[in-house]
Amino acid sequence: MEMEEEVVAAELRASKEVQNRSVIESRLRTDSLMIERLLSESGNSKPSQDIRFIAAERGVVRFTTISYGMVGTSTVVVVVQGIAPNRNDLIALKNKMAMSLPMAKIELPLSELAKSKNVIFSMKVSYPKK
Amino acid sequence: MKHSYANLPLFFLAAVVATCGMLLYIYMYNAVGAAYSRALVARAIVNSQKLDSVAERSTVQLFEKTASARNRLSSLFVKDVETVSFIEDLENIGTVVGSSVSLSSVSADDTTNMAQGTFAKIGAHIDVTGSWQGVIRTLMMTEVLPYHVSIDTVTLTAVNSAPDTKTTATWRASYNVKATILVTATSTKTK
Repeated sequence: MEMEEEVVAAELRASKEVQNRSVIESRLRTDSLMIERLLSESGNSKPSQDIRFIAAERGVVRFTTISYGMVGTSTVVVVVQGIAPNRNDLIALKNKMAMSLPMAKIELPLSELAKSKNVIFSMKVSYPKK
Repeated sequence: MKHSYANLPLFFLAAVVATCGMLLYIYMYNAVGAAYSRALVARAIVNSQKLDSVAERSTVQLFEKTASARNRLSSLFVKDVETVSFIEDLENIGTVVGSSVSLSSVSADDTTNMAQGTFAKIGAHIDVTGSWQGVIRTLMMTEVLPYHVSIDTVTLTAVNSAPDTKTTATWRASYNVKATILVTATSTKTK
C-alpha cells in the first residue's frame, strides 16, 4: 500500500516537473520570439537628438526646413534648407558641421553659393547611425 | 596386486561436485560481470540525471530571476487590446507639451484570427504645430513612449519664420511612428 502511494507520488512529481518544464519552454520560446522581433526592427531611433544637434550649429543662419530620414538601416540623412545672411556664414556653417560630425558627408552644391547675400541653400548631411 | 574399487563412487562424486562447483563459479562470474556492467550503466544514467536536474534547477532559478525583466519585454509591444490607448497616448502628447498634435492617419493590421503570440504592425502619421521647443518636445515624448517605437521621415518646416530666432517662429513637424502589436490570448477571436 505504502509502495503504491510512493509510486503515485513519484508519478505526480514527475508529471508536475514535465508540466513546469513545458511551461518554461513555452514562455522562453515566446520571449525569444519577442527579442528577435525587437532586434529585427530598427526601433527607438532618436531623431530629436540629431535634429537638436544640427539646429544648435546654425549660428546666424536661419533654417526653414529640416528633414530627417534613414537610408537603409545604418545611414542617417538630414537635409537642411534655409537662408544664410551671406556666403561666408554658409561656408562657416558647413565647416562647423564638418568639425562636429567628422564621420559625416556634407553636400552643399556650389550653385548655392552663387548669391553673396541672403543665400537660400539646401545642405545634405549623411552620417552613420550611432 | 589387488585393486580396491570401494572408493570409486566417492571419486566420481568428488569429480561431479568439482565440475558443478567450477560451472557454478563460471556462471556466477559471468552473472556478476553482467550485473556490474549494468550497475555501471545505471550509475552513469543516474549521474547524468543528477546533472540534468541541477542544470534544470539552475534554468528554473534563472527563469524565476528574470521573470520581471521578461514581463517588461512584453510591455514594449502594443497589446492588440490596447491599440486605442496607444493612439490616445500619441494624441495626449500635445496636451502635455502644449503643442497641437493631430494624427492624420492611423493604420493597423487586422489581428482578428491571428494566433496568440504573433505580431502585427501599427503605424500613425503625426502632424505637430507649435513653437520650436514644443515641436521638438513632442518628438522627444514620442520617442520615449513606453513602447518600442520607431520614428522615421521627420520633416520640420518653419511656417511663419521669424527673421532671427527659431524660438519665436511657428514650426510644423510631421513624422511616422511605428510600433508592433502583440496578439494576446484574450483578443483572439474566431469568425
